[in-house]
Amino acid sequence: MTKTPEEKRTEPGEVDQGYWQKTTLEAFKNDPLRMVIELIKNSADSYTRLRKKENVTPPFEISVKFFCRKKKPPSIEVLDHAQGMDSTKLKQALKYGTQTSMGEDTEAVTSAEKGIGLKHAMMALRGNWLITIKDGLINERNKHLDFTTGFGKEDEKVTDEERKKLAIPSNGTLITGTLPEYFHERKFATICERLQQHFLLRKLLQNTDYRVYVFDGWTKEKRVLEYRPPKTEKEILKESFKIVYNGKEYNIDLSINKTGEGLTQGKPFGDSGLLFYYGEYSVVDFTFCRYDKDFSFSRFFGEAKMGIETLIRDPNEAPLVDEKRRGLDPEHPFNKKLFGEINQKLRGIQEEEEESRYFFDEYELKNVLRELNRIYKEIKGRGPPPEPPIKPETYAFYPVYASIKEYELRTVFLIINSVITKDGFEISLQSTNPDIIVKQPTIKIEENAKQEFIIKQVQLYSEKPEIKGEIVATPVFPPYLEPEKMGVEVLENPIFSPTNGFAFVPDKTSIVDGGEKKVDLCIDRGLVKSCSDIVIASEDPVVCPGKLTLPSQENLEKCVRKNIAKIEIPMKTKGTEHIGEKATVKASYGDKATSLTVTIVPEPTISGLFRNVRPSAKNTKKISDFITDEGILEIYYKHPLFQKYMKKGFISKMDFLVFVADTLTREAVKACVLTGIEENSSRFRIFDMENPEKEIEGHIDREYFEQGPKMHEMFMKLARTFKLGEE
Amino acid sequence: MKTSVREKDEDVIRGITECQRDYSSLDKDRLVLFAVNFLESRKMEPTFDKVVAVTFRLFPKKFSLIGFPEYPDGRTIYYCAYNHCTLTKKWLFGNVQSAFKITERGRYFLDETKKMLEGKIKSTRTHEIVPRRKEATFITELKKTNAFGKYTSDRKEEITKFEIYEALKAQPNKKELALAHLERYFDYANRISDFQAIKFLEFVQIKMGGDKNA
Repeated sequence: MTKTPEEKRTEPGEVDQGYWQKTTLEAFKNDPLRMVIELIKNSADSYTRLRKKENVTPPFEISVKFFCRKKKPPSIEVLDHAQGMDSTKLKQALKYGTQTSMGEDTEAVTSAEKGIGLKHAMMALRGNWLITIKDGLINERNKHLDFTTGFGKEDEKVTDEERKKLAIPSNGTLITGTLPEYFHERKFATICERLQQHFLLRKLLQNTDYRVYVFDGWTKEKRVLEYRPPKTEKEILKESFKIVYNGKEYNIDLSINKTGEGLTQGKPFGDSGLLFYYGEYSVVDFTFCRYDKDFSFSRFFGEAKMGIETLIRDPNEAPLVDEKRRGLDPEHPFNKKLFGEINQKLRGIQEEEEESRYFFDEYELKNVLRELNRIYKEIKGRGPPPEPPIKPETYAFYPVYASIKEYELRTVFLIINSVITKDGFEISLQSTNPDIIVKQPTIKIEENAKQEFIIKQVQLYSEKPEIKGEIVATPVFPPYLEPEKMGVEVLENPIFSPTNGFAFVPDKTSIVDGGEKKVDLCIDRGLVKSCSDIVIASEDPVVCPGKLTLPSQENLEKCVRKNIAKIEIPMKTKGTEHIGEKATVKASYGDKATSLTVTIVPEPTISGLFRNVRPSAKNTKKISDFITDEGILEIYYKHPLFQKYMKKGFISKMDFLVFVADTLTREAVKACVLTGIEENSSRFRIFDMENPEKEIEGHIDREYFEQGPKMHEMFMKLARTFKLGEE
Repeated sequence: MKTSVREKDEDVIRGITECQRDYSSLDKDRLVLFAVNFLESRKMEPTFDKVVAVTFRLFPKKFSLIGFPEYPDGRTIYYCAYNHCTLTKKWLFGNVQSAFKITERGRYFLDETKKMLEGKIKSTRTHEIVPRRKEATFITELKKTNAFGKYTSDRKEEITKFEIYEALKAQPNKKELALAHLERYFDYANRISDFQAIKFLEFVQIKMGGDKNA
């Protein structure tokens, strides 16, 4: 630890202690790290001024040494190798009311401004000393709580030994002292972490020209402070605008990003907010203005770079930052204009992003989306057939070898090059093993094929396991073609050999989160006793019926094959948000028991034109819209016409349901037609491309007539599930 | 006598020249199956080392090391022969200790492969030539980034600083690290001759050099 200088004389201060207690003490007590940050920023400012004056090259290093103790606040040493100060400058720096960069280069954009600064931070340190070397002269000063300045060495020639002890080989400044009792952090690691996360340091730590090293004074552990902003998932806004104030224009560069997960909000350590700064690193506030701590902005973060250097240094102007340095003073007329402008932009974002209070039932919604996409596919036309996996010169089986399960149909394909079908095509399919059956033994193509390759399905079936054979395709016409063959093996179907005669087959399955399905429970008929129940126990989050009564003997026969009865057990998940969880379902019948492992998996993404239908809280003059890029069909329930129907008990009222269904149907039909036109569907031909509106209207009318009733019925079902979400 | 037989096998293998047919569209498993049959049909035991040598001699473009086209990629051939063709697809029977043999099922796929090599059947699926090593893995990752997506969809002007740094796997305030990563990406893209990635990296380089604050 650096040796404390000796105080030789004092000079009285300009203001009394009451002022300090009224302003600075409160600010520091609210955010004690600010004391350290003020000292770091003071060093950074010194480098900035030096760079402006002498064209020195970065990186600029600032060293902060903490001597932490278990039961007492740490002592601190902040060292830089920047300009240093002579006695004249020191006097200005430590004087109350210094407003510019100590009267020197006012164009160097530093964080010096009115309010709390170097002297205040020094005053907060017990036994504080500022030791500075400039052009071979050393000066030592301290600051008392009553603003009295204490003097150690004054413009004395510095010796090599002193330089070595202070670790200042050229010019530079060292500030030492002990942090006050209200600085509660005691651990070096915690202090480092907090400093890295503090909003006031973010821009400085992001600036690669400056390096802030933090040392543990006892262990000599060294760390570089870094700030990593949240990962940007989507850039929401990036624009520049001007604030006109007192006849001058001030440029503001605003950027707002969105991240994937919720961020912590608020000062000083939150990530969600707007960082207001000027120059390179001078942060003045971290807030979302009117929307500060508004949950709907919890995934947003951004910056507002303010071109206010001249304004902040104007001695006739009131400070932009409030007296206690809580942030931008909301009463300042410039800030009022700035916040007003930003609030307006944030409101727009909120309207876009605001989560709806209402929802449709997920299960019904998925059904509707599937059906809607099917309808769209149907009306748009099938489009070109899928490309075959292989393109043979003549014809070929695909795959060339297949394993089938006993008692289960398996489809394979015969891919035929249309070149050989011009004058007709007929092929006979024969199995070399009579126990392997080809369901359709002849394939005939009479008409001229439009596509290059024709894909024909071939269905194979067998009831005998563990046999092999070949399917031989022999051309009848054209006769010059060579026969083709494929290999087939029949595997034992596991449903016919349940373990112990009573088992789930298979014994592992997956279920979609929030979905339902049926699983097969296989029972040997020899075990079936009359009037006996199957008892089923399921673990959370899977729900199954507690017991299942076997069908009567007569009905049971219908589901028996090869002496095995296959019973379907329904199951569903309890609510949603269980992805990745596992549960066991146990079934017992008499003295037999079996278990099934169930894994909850996410819903496969819905593909197609429509990917979501949702009520939206957006304030818009439209009543509904289709967001093409995202495939979302939206209805805006804040629309006055919508609100007209949303009276007490509206969810079960027929007029409301019809209204919702009709609105959605019209929008969906319109979306189908417009997208169909864009995708060059032959169903939506446009004669006059210059003025297509009338023809588009005609297409919409036709589809509304043809598809409207079907869609309306679907949307009625969906509208019945309209519900208020959890607040 | 044994020695002379072994020498004969090796001499035969050394004399194999590259397959003259277009094999670029065929998957590697099929080519290994073909190589095993090549050995079997010449009465040579398909031991693993012979399979590696024959596969490489026949199909060098598909089975050479990244940056060393004169050396066979034994690891890939092992994965194809044992993990894929033997364990998963059951086209082969055996292992590295016992050598390999084509199964009955494998014969059907071999016939199909021969037809593919003869051009009688074309596969519409494309298969990667470059083995999945660090170079290919990281270039694939690079191609999944937002910046690359915007670049290829001609929305270059929308690419943000964050996205550039994200693509280079560096924090936004670490320009030096980003530049080091950029250099490494260039190296990888050049080694696997991925010209699309090279063009994108050149764009990134300009963007980083041109933008002082990048």
